[in-house]
Amino acid sequence: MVTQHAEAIFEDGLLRPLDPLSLQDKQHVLLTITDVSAPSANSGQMPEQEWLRAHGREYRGQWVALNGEELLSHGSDARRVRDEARAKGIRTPLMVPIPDEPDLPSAFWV
Amino acid sequence: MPAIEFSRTHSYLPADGGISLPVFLGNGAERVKLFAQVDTGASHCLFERRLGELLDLDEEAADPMAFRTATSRVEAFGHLLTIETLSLNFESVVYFFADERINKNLLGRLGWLDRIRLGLIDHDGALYVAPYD
Repeated sequence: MVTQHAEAIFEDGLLRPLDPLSLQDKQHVLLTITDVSAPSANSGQMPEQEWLRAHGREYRGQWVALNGEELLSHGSDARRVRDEARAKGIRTPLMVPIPDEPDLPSAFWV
Repeated sequence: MPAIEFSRTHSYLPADGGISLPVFLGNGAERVKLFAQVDTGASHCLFERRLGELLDLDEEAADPMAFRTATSRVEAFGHLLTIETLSLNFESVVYFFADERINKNLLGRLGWLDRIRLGLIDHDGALYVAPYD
C-alpha cells in the first residue's frame, strides 16, 4: 500500500488538493485529516521555495528532489534522484537543478 | 478602465532568480514536478532535457525545432504533453533543449501564456492567473 501526503483546501463542501494526486479515476482512498494553518497573504511562499533559499547553494551543480521542506534525495543523475524519492513514497517530487553559481544574477534566459 | 479578475495567486521572492512557479508536466501516467520561470520573451515553453527523459518521451515522435537566442541558436524537440500550473491544465506542445547543459525551464507564450490571463506585481512578488475564457 502506497502512502501519499498532500495538502488540500476544504471549500464549498469539497476537499481540493493543492497539487495533483497520483490516483486513478474513482480510486477509493483513506484520509486522515490534519488541521494546518493557511499561509498568510504575505508568506504564501511554497515550502520548497523556502528550502531552496536556505539550503540550495549547499547542493550546487546537483539535482534535488523535494517534498515540502523535506529533501528526499540529491545527486547528479536526475533519474536516480527521482527514483530514490519515489522509493520514499513520493510519486511526484519537485525536481530542481541547482546551478553551479546560484548566486549570480541572470542576464537573460537563453 | 477594464477590470480583470483572477482565480489563483502565487507568491515568489523578487530577489530570487526569476518569476518562478510550480509546474507539472505529464506524459500519460508519468509526471514530473518542477519550477519554471515566466518568460514573455520566449515564443514557446522550453524545458531541460533531463526532465524530458524523466517523462519517458518517445524520441521518435519528437518535433525538432531551432530557436534563436541572444547570441546564436539552440535546438530543441517538441512533444505534446499536459502542462499544469496553479491548477490550470492544458495540453500543449512544449520543447526540451537538445543540449543537456542548458538548465532553464521557461514558460513562454505559445502553449502557456496564450492560454491564461496573467497579472503581476513584481514589487510584491505576487502573480495572479486565471484561465483565458
